[in-house]
Amino acid sequence: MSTEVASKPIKTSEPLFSKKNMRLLSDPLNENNPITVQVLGICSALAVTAQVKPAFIMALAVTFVTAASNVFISLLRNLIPGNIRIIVQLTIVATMVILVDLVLKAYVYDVSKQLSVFVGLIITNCIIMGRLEAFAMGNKPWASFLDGIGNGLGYAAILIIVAIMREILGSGTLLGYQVVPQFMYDAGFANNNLMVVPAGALFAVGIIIWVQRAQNKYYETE
Amino acid sequence: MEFMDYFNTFIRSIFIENMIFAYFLGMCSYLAVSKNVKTAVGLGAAVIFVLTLTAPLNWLIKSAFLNEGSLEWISASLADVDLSFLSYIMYIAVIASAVQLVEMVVEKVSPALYGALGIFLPLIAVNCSILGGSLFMAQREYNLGETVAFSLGSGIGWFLAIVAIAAIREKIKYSDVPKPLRGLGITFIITGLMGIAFMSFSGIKL
Amino acid sequence: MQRDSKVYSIVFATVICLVCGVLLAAVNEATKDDYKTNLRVEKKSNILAAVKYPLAGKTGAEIEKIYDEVIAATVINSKGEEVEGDAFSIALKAEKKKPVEERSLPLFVYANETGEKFYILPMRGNGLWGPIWGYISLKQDLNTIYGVVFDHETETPGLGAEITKPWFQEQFEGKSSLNGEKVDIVVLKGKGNQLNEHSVDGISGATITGNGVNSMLAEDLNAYQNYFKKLN
Repeated sequence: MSTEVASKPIKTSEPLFSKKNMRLLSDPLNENNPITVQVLGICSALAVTAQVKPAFIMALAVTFVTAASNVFISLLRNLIPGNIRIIVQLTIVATMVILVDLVLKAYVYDVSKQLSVFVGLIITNCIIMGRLEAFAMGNKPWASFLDGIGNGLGYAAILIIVAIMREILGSGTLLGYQVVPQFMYDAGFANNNLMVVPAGALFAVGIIIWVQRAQNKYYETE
Repeated sequence: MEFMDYFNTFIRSIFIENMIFAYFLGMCSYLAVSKNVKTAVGLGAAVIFVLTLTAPLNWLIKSAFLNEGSLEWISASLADVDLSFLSYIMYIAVIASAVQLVEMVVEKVSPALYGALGIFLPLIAVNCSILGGSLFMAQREYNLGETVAFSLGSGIGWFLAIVAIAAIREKIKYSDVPKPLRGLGITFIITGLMGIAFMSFSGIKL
Repeated sequence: MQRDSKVYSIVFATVICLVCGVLLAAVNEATKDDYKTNLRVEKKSNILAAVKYPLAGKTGAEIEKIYDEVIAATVINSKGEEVEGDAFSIALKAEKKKPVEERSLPLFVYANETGEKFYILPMRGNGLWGPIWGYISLKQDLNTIYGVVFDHETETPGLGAEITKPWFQEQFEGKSSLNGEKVDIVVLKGKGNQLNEHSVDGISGATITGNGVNSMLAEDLNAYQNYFKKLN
């Protein structure tokens, strides 16, 4: 209790984009990436990355839902009873997701068609629940908002890298346009169906983790 | 003939449409709780149990309340009501409360089982494969029998996957894996290899 | 009130549920009509696309107007008799659960400026992961395929989802759907096959989706043959 009182005046005088707040945005992009370091939100990261376009739409939707539910939970954080907090969090996330779904269906039907399969996956995306539990339950709305956006973008970064790898190697295209030139095919390049099927996503993520950890010198000890 | 259909659904959902290898559902707990076989068995059993409980329960709720026109049994004036937009929220609420309920019942009835499963139960509410089960059930319009067969099969498929990876991870500790690849990285790659092995089931016609 | 008391939990849960429920119901009510319009426009554009009617840049309202002007619809059964009903609102999903004799089959007819008629048949089946559906249009001889449209819910992007791509759909044009009495038009396994007038190249790696297209074509086209015999 006493620490909270003590820290309050400092927090209110903090500028909106202070260094500390910016770190909330930038940390999840690399050092504390939700997918490769926190190991959250894997399910959908793999399911939607066979091509870049659905991956991009999914990343956008997840960023929005993470940020919005982070803000709501953070506003309610002092009211939520501890014993039912999981259900309350799930209810709010589900509400946000349904809202997104309904609005897309009515006004941007094409995008909604792309997303339709993935909407359910957003609710179960562990990133959202993980951030609510680990961050929004104990922080102010603005910080929570930045944390949500940061984690959403960190998720987006991995999603899009994986999707680019898979689409180029698996279909020879990027966003649906042919990018692997014909002479490459003539020289023996073949579209690798392995990259399109689920297993390809697992290899791609495994390799990204390898590269990232080798650079950050972050090693797991078992 | 009916029975064979259910049996086919059951086998399909264990091997061909495996929750982990075909849909990546429940990956988070799959990766986090697969360091040794004993805990993996505990979590796997809890997933089978909760999945087989919630998917049929959600089926009942869906067909009694959420489908268009399904409220007719309450009063004829409600025949036009379509509550299907509430389905996600209902499913997740049912799952979260079922998990909480199971936790309480198990604690009262069998403290031994609670000791074994207890710590895993809260993890399950946020396990994607449980909600995935309910969503697939709705999307594929299974009847009640198929839903039971499908959810039991998916649970067993998930159990198999996590126990298998846990057994491999127990052994791989003794291997000389490149340092940055240790832990998470190599688990992904092994899961990919296992996924390829499971793909060979997809040629089976049921 | 204590934050962890039972009463507080129950009150809090009820309030949250009410707020979320009311919010969602309100948004649902507000967006429902737009959504239904979108669905209707999509179906109409698919029907028009099956006869290659140029729709690029048209708004939803324009598409609905064009549809009403150029498409006529009837409902028939598998014995070839015309039956009562609104062809457009028939849900194929429900019809396909019935035995073929009891199904109501929608048939859309498009007449172009020169009076040439094209018959548009809806189809529905299963791919690898979920439902696939589409429309096929036949020329006046009731045999030659004029155009096809396929769509799907959950096929793998890059594999099964290729059925929505022009390269796949254009292959069907000009093929002959009947071999003797029976419908015979097949998607082969993979590319680079010896093609004849009844077969098209498949998608490598998506054999099951291709098989789904085959059984959908065979089942749904055969149901119309009795009616077509009467027309000829």
